[in-house]
Amino acid sequence: MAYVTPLHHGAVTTGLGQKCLNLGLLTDLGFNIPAAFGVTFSAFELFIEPLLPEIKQLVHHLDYAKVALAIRKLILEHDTPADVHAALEDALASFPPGTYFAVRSSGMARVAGSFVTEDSSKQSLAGQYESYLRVPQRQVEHALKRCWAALYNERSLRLFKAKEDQTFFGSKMSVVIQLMIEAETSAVIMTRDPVERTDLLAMEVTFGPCEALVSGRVTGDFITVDRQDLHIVRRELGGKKHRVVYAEYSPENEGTYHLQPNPAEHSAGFAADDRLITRIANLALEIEARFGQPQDIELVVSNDELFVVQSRHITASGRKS
Amino acid sequence: MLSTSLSGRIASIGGGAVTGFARIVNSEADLGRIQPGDIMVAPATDISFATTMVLCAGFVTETGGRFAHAAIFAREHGLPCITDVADARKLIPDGAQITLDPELNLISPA
Repeated sequence: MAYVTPLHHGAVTTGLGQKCLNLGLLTDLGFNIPAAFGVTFSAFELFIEPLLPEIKQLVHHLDYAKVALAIRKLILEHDTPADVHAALEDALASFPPGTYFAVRSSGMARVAGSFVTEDSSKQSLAGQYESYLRVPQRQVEHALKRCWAALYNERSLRLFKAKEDQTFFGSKMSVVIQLMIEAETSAVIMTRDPVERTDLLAMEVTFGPCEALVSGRVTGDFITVDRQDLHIVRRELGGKKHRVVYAEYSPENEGTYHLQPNPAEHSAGFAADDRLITRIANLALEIEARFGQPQDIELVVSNDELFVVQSRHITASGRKS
Repeated sequence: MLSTSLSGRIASIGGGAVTGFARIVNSEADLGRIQPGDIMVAPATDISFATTMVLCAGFVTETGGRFAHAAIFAREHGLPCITDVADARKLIPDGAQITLDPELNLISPA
């Protein structure tokens, strides 16, 4: 029974959530994925089992906001099982000292007796569970427990009606722990534009992490590319007035980021030149081809190298009929 | 009353143009002001807005593009959304009746 596992798709087929499996698949397909490993459902279950009776009591007696906080406190105060801790330390030791990690939830809620996965449900529910970025090695275990606790965050308890649905307590959490790349530039791509023309690939590009684009707090450059011959069809300059800067994760700061103003010249020019745009489009279409359906992809650029952060099937079209 | 027409980036077509009362939402604290059929005008949106967003007829945000939360939410729910409307909250009076036309990329007085 593995508590910690590399994410090669071939090595593990059960015990991890969809986010982990996607990364494993992308790695196996030969895409440039920052090194990552997963902490399995088994590790979570070993940890949470002795706490479940108290968790159920809390859910029964307190309102959702209070119970979420109480469960989180309970989880953070409880030690990780020795075997999980050891496996985690082993995995972390293989990274250079000073490495920063992204620690991301990959959960499966149990609702009315069936499992609902975070990543296959509506994309607008992304962010349902938590992610922690810029986590130094010594804080990874803390961030891991925060991700475990995220299974019982207020939003989820409410959404899945934890007070009424006893099967909810069969929910489980796996966690991706991944080398964090410092993004100089990042892009979000839909290999088929869902809004205007589905024969085009659409991307948005900005400086710094792609959270700026996903949160909508920053307007990136918008570019459409012809899917057949990869020529750039349209470029629309974006404000790019800020970039996301992550604080170094600590138990005190909840892993926050702030929006740092960009210099004025960042608004005046495009974040990616044509060569980079073409490289990004090429990579995106390659991923689409391997998955066999249109993809929503996040990637970052560092030292002229492209790293794929995430790829998932596109969930919704832009038009009603 | 909205005195001029505004444009931004088309983020979701939904079912096409909608008319409704603009409701300025500066933060999560303002979500309680939304009435069914309102057009939400916000800096940006996030998952904490979701249970209120389902009541809206459409969305206007000040920053972001078609990959932003508001855009994705709008598309999933078949609602129109225009993003990147600079100073939307200053230019669109709270409670003004407006038309949001995602196909023309236009926010105008109703």
